[in-house]
Amino acid sequence: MSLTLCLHGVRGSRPTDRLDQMDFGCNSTCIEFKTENNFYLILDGGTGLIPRGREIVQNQKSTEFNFIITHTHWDHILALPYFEPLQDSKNTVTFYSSKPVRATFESLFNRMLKERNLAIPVEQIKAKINFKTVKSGEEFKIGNDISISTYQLNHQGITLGYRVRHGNHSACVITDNAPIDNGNYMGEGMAAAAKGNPKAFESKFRQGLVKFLANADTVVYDTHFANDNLKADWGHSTPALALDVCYEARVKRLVIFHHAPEDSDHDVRAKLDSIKDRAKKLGVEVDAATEGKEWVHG
Amino acid sequence: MGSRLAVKFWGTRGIIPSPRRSTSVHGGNTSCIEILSDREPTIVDAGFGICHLGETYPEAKPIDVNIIFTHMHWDHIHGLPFFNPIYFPASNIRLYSPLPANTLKQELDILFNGSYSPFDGIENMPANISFHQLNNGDVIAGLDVSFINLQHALGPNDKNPCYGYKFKTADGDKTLTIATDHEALPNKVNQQVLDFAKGADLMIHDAQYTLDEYQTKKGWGHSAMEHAVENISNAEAKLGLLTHHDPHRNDDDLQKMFIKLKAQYPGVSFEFAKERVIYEISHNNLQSKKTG
Ligand SMILES: [Zn+2]
Ligand SMILES: [Zn+2]
Ligand SMILES: [Zn+2]
Ligand SMILES: [Zn+2]
Repeated sequence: MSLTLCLHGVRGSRPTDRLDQMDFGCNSTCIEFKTENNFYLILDGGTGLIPRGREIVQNQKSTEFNFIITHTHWDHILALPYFEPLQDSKNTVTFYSSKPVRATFESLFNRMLKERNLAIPVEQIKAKINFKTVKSGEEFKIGNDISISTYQLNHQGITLGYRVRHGNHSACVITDNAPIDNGNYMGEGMAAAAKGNPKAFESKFRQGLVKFLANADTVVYDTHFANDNLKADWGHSTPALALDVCYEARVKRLVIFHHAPEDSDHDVRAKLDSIKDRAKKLGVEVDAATEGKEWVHG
Repeated sequence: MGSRLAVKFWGTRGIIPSPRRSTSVHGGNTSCIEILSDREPTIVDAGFGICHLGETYPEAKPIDVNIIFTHMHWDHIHGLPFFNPIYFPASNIRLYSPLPANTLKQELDILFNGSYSPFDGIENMPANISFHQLNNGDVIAGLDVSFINLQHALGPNDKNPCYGYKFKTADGDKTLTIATDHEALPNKVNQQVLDFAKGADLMIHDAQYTLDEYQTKKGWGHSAMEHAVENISNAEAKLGLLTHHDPHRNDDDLQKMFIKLKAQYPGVSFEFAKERVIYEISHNNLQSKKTG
């Protein structure tokens, strides 16, 4: 059994479009997991989803589409209404997402389809759409042989990290996620959970994340900031922080991801270089997320 | 000579950004057009192109800028929360639309909603942001501004207006019209658009689809390239710039279409709009110059 991780969009915060950013790519978050199954399994609907949607309708293998959604910030969902398979009534699209108190994914998705804002006729969205809620810590199956588990990350609302298991292989996506130390509690429910014993809460969050990623083949990790320009309360991490976690979890490969929209290719390379030596010593393979790149496991 | 009137496209793409090497000549950002006059900059629409424009403004200097909206489709507003000057307390950002000012504010507020963004409403952004209802004949940055309804209702229930704009220098020397989202049908609305644009020095026009594609996209609110060029010809505009490129269209495709259309309409002066190119109206003769 083989599990392939494909990157269609690697940029954070918003899509960008500069020639000096094209080596790594300018589309916002979209990642696909491919297995022997014909159905589609895609994480997030940033602009990287658009060319992939066209590719799919031109050579469609299944009418079943599954999306696992990390959170509802624009860069992760803005392309969903224009995903071309949604325009075919034969297709079924299921969205798996968390359920924050503030607003559900379903209501936010439907709000994107409002006639005043949607740039295509809403009648063209003809696929059958299902919404499923998943909790942090929950494990569920897609098909017979893909198992997915979740972990609430330190980011606004209820942002979910995902671990996708297929056979003996695991690929994980941790985006978006900030360091939690010193009371930097960004996720829904975190400040309340930390009340009384913040140190214990912070260590539990961290240990939980390490356990969640344990022995994974590949971890794609939010490293929006460089090691020396971290703004922890903006909700993102750095390459050095990502490496710490991945080393502790004995992850085989770390892929730095969610490149800042102002980062040039040179900046992304510098971020990767900033952890290369230490990663080598620690025995963790490191790479930078690149649009169109795939990692095949098994 | 007369007063200055020029445009610089920061976003030429329709629907959704399409950033890739194969779109880099014409650009992959959603709609944003900067209008350059003798006064402060005026921007039409805040698609993602506006982010790159925002990167050119230094934080240290107070920014004074007008943004006029054609309509509220995501591809024309989505870049606003990422326009750098909106984070600077010294910026004055004036937002205009023919919609009532409070409606405009409510409509744009969703972009800054705490579920979709790390922000907490447009009201709480650092810049000094004001909302204005535009009236026909208002003067913005020294330019006379008028507007018209375009053919851009999507589906039978869609009653949302989409506006086309005309900008005229105070001395009446130069005119520019903009219709980024308009489906050229043989109807009254289109005739009004032609009358509105009559004799313009520059006419910017939606040309999202090839004629083939258009056959399956009738009523989607956008023009076939052929129909756009015919509109430019019928309006007797001195130059037409075709925009709202389909997100799946590559530079090569546009280059081929250009050659085909040139042969088909030899008497009409037009181009496919390119990002970061300044189209300067001068002595009824349009010059374009590429800038970085
Ligand atoms: Zn993000
Ligand atoms: Zn986020
Ligand atoms: Zn539109
Ligand atoms: Zn549009």
